[in-house]
Amino acid sequence: MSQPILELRDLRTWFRMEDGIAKAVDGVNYAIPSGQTLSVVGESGSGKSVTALSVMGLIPCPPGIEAGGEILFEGQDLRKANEAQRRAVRGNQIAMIFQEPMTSLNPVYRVGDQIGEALRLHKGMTGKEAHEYSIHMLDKVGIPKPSQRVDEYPHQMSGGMRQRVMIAMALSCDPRLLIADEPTTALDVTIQAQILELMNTLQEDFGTSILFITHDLGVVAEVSDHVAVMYAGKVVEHADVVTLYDAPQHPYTIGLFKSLPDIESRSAKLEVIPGVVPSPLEFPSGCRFRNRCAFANERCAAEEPVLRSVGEGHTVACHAVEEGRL
Amino acid sequence: MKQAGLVLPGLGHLLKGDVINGLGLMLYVGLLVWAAVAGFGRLPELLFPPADQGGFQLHPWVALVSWIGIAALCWHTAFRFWKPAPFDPEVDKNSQWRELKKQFRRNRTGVFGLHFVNVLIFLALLTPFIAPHHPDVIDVGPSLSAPQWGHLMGTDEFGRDLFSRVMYGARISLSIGFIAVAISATLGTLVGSIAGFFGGKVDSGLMWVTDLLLSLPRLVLLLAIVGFFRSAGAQSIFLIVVILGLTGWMGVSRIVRSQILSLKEQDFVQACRALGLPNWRIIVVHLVPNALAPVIVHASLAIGSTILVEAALSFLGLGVPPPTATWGAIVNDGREYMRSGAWITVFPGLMIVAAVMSFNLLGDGLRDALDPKLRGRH
Amino acid sequence: MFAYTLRKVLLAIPLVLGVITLIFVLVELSPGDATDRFFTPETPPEVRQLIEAKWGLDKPAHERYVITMKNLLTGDFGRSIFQERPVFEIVMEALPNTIQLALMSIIIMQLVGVTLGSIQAVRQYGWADSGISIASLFFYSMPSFWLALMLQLILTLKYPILPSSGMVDAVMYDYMTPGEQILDRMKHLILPGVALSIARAAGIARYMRSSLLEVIRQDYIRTARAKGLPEWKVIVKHGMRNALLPIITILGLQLPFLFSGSVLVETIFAWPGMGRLIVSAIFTQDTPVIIGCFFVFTLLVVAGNLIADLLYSVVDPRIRYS
Repeated sequence: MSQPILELRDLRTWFRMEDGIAKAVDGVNYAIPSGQTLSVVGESGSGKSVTALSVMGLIPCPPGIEAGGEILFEGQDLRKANEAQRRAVRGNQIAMIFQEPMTSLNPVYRVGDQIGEALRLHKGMTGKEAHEYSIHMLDKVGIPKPSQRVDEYPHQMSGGMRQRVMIAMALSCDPRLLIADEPTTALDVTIQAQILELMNTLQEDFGTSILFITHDLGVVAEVSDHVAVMYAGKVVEHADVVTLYDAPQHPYTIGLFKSLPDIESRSAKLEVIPGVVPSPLEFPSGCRFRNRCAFANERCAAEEPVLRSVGEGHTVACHAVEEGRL
Repeated sequence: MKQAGLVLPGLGHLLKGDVINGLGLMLYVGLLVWAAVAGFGRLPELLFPPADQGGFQLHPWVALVSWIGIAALCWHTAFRFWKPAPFDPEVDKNSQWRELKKQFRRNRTGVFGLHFVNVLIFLALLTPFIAPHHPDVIDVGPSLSAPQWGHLMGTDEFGRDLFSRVMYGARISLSIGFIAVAISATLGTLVGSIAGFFGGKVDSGLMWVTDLLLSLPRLVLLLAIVGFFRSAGAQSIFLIVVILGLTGWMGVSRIVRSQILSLKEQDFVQACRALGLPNWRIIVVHLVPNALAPVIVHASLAIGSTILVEAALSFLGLGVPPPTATWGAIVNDGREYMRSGAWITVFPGLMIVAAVMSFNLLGDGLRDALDPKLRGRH
Repeated sequence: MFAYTLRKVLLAIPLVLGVITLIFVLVELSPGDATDRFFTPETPPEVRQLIEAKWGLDKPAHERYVITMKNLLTGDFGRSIFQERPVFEIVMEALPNTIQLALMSIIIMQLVGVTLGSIQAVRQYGWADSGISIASLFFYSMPSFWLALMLQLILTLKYPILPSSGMVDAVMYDYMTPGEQILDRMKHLILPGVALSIARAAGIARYMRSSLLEVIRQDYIRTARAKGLPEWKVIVKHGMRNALLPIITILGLQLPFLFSGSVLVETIFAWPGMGRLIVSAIFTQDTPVIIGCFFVFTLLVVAGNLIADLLYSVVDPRIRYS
């Protein structure tokens, strides 16, 4: 099997806060096969965004602490690279798009200039070349009249269009990996569908691998090849998308699926996972989900579970699953 | 530990780790000691000057009373630090003030500024004791001599002790600052509350005038007024204070207006109307007190800028008429002697900087105490 | 954009009329009657007649108001009592000098303020931040006339590096080459310019600090970093451009203070500008000059605000293309 485009090994990123150290990402392992999409699912506070920002090297240190682990991009450990090397990769071979298209573009520069900036930086294009290529990119992401739009300012565009511009900007340097951090959360449902469609098409056309971060299981089904479920700074389950939706194993994943409203279900109440996500300043000992889990025993309090294979390409970190108690 | 404050106010605070308040209190006590050492020996002549030196003067008596008052304040603070006042919820009328005081105490620059301001005020009050000479008496020392033991800031061309002049100048500059700002604040609150409460044409009209006056350079405006008045021969300290007050109300009126506008919509105003309260009562008793906190912030900063503007006027020779010497006037006097007596210009200027800095620190501290609290509430 | 410009210009007009009304009211309210304000006992009768005719001093108040308005709007400020020249001429001689000084001050003020404020924002809570804050407070609390005197003391008396007064070297200027002349002018401009601008520079530093801090937290800064741009470029190209917008807005607001300050600085450095003119006019009780100076000052403020507003609309594309 060819090398995965991105592999995280025991990645840790902590933050020094007033009240202690917040271990936002505390031993994360996953890999993205080349040319495919991995979705990372989790609630707010699970560490999924911090993981992505760590890959990009966008965590400000201080207060961030690169506390260990490896980020292997095409086999090279980014954590061992210096800042200049990381910058050469950033925006060039790994690109990122963010959640809020309304505020993620600089309001005082034209859209075309903002796309062209990356081109001139990484590809050495001249202003004119960058301008032409920007129009080409705008066309690729489905913006009508690109030669006109390229000279407009962000405030002259709608949210959906701005997100397309962000995608164009990210893909302009033909990155091997695109990280999308909740790119459709802030958009209307219809626009959301268009953007997801666009991303799928672009992946086919460009062969880009995608790391897709979201909390929305519906979106996951649309775009993913593989899924990793994160909770409290760790990956708790990892499988290909069909398997995960068919037969989730980890109690948390099961809880997530159960809490989706089902139009055919007769019951009046929504099923919820009791309790709240623990604060990264104070995780419970052993398994971090145990306070909310119906299947927790003493071992769960004493020992942290590790990811173990339960099927082809399917790993779960849970003692109950391992012991067959589920 | 805290009892140490009963012996030396401030010591208790220091020992408990509260450095700023501790040093502040000790500084006040230091001032008291200085005043006593420098002045109590002369107490009889100061309090009962013989007829040929002008007869009865009020200000040494004021200084004495102030001395006693400041001492009482220091020891009371030390006492309260040791045994805090019992908290009586019945008495707690306006919790907004209590909140402000609590927030303010946390703000170190603000507390620092407050101590500085207090030192200035106390210095001004205790001047008759602290200042070794009368400010206008000439030849108390050789003319144009540099700072030395008997003349801490040197002497001017007439042999007057500069330190005494600067100290007495402090009284005048500070008083002008306080009174002028009091006038501005009152006037501004009046205009702002009327504009804010009644709205409509009244509001537009008043605000247009306010904006017009705000856009003009204050010193130039003052010069024009002083210029017109002067040509008719009118110039006095009261005039200056009144003019300063009449040109400084605009900022306050905007603040009060915006506060009233937001308060007006609240339910308690409806309740007042339902009770049949007349408009003026609603404004004065209910709205204005709630709007005062930002005014106080502004006032503190305004005292600083008023001191600056008054100094500028006096420097030009258009402020308080001689022989009353405000800091600006002393600097102006020293201009011709920059080569031979630079201290005449340096020291009053430093005092101005110190005074304005303290009011700025105080105002900033008050503003910080106010802001996050407001953001939290609304 | 055109509508915006037009609206701003139209708003300025009632302001000018308001100022004229204010001048009239102030003159009327000052003690004494019209004759006291405009003449001194030594004024020769011919001059008296001219002034009476010019300002309609023998007419009732409302007529005088109209006359005053007409005079000021047409720039006909009458004749100076003291100098026996048209006031307009006197003021126009002094005006360019004050404007030169003001421009120099604005440049110094913006450069120093923006630089210091940016350093503070980028090194928040560091030594540079605290140090600059304290220094800013110190200079902000300083009377500009005192700063001017201290500068004069140190840089012209104690260590005579720079000239202490005037706009050009009184003796040698006419014999200098054009290059030397420009240098001479610059040397004379520095101290007054610095004295005038430092206090406001401190204020701008503080404003810039909070503006840049606010901007750095924005999402588009994160986007710029994600593109792989070096940090300095992120701050300078993406950050500053946005952070400077509010600074430019308040550019207009600095003008009143600049003109106030110029009164003091011009007096100290013997700079022949409008500030010095109005002060000497007060001492010689030359009312027409006072009126003329004050009016022109306020016109400058109104014009300055207008320019600043227009500048802002040019610089912020959200206004330009709305």
